[in-house]
Amino acid sequence: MINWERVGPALWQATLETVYMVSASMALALVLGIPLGVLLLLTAPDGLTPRRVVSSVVGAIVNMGRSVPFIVLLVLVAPITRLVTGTTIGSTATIVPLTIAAVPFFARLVEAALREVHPGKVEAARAMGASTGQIVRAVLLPEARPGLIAAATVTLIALISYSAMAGAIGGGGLGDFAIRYGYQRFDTAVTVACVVVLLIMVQLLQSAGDRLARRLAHR
Amino acid sequence: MITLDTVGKTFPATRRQAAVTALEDVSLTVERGQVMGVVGPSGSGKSTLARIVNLLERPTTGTVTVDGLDLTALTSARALNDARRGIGMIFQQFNLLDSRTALANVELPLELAGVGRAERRARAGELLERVGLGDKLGSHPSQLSGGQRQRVAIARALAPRPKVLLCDEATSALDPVSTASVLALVRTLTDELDLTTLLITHEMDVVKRVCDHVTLLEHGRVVDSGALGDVVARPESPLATRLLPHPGPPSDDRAVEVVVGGDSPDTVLTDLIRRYDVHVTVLGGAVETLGGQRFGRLQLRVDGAPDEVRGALDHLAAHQRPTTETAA
Repeated sequence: MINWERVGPALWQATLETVYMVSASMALALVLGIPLGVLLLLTAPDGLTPRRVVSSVVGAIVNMGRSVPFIVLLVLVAPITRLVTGTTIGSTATIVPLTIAAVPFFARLVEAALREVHPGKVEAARAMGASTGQIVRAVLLPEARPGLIAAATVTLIALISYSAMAGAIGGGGLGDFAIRYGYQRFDTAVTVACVVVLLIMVQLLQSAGDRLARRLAHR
Repeated sequence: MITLDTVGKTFPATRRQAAVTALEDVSLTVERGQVMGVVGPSGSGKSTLARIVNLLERPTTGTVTVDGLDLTALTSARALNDARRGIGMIFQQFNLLDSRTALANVELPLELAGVGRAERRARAGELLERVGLGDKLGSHPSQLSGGQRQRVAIARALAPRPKVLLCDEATSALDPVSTASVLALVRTLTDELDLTTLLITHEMDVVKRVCDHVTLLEHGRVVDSGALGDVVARPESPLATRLLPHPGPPSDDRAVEVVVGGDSPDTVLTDLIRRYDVHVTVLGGAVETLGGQRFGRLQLRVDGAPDEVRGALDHLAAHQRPTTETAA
């Protein structure tokens, strides 16, 4: 049986680490991914301001970011991680690869959500004399809000799953905890406890995301 | 107010399809205060025409002048955006923003133009009141009927006080009752706000109800154009019989066909009988209200002494809108 007195605080600590890593990288993904998604949409051949070169270069980088398995990315971007955080181990260091993985992922979802906005609305705004910037701010982003919330929810959950691999570089968090305490010490109950915490986290986030998206939908 | 001069629009070839010429050599003038209907079968270039007026589509050739400003000559995006504020537009699918209330939707063009919050709000409220939605300011588009949504769209189009209103199939998604009220609103607002309206439609009935001028587009070319009263009376006009149906082949070889009504007095037959000693038989006919004026296409037979009949026919020819005449 689990010795809760010993495992409990450690489990709580691991949970906090996961929350820390995931929320920090999600915040960065929002800040960087939304503009990137807008850029992908606008510069696409059928976009408002088509730019072939920009579109294909940015598209290629984004695809590259998405095609590298996270566990490989973790190792691959270690030099960048060291450059940014001064270290390659620990929760803070893990935020760098998590962000690098989340930004292109989220950017594509943002692009898709913006694409869902009926082109007639954009046309109406153009007919009103709206500039491209105004169309993005006043039409595309507000109208795509339910889709953007859904995209953020999916990204957040993907980040939780990625963050579990952070153990590989001593990043801490629930995944790391489950491997070290559960798997390596043959204490399956700890593993199960970690899974339960993750499960609850994902469930809460998904239903909160769904509820928010629905409330903003006005359809 | 709106002048298209030898406008052509060709969509370049894509990987999937060859180049398409949507408009060719289209010249069209809409004077201030007019409601011009543009009709034509689908694929005739009607919608492209509407989108050319505010340069949502840039014409390949020709010039577009609105309110004395040659839009095709504007090179900066800012100048074009400023010009577009003077041209309101409504659409078949309304194109309202679902995330905004009716009030906020009407505020949008003012917001884009940098109008302050209080002024914006007052203007939007006043316009919604005017289109009969004073009690729906806080409703989202999803809570409104199609007709109500189009009214919000009209209020939105008129918020920046444009001089021109473009209606692209604005009633095609509406039921007959909403269609009637939206069309009546467009007509009233055109007159009261001194607008110039270009109305794209595939329904001749829409033209009959609100337009005073009409243009027929086929294969991207103007086939026929003019004031309803003139078009109706022109025998060679392809629009004439669609506006005012032909009664069918005359059942009598002495039949005379006349188009009466419009701005000329509606008392043709009474006058005829009072002045000449003739019998007038109506063999067939159709009467329509076009742009608020009544028009009739009548097949008449005039009987009596040859002199009187000749006099009567001359009278018809001189005072009415005769189309075809068969010697009595």
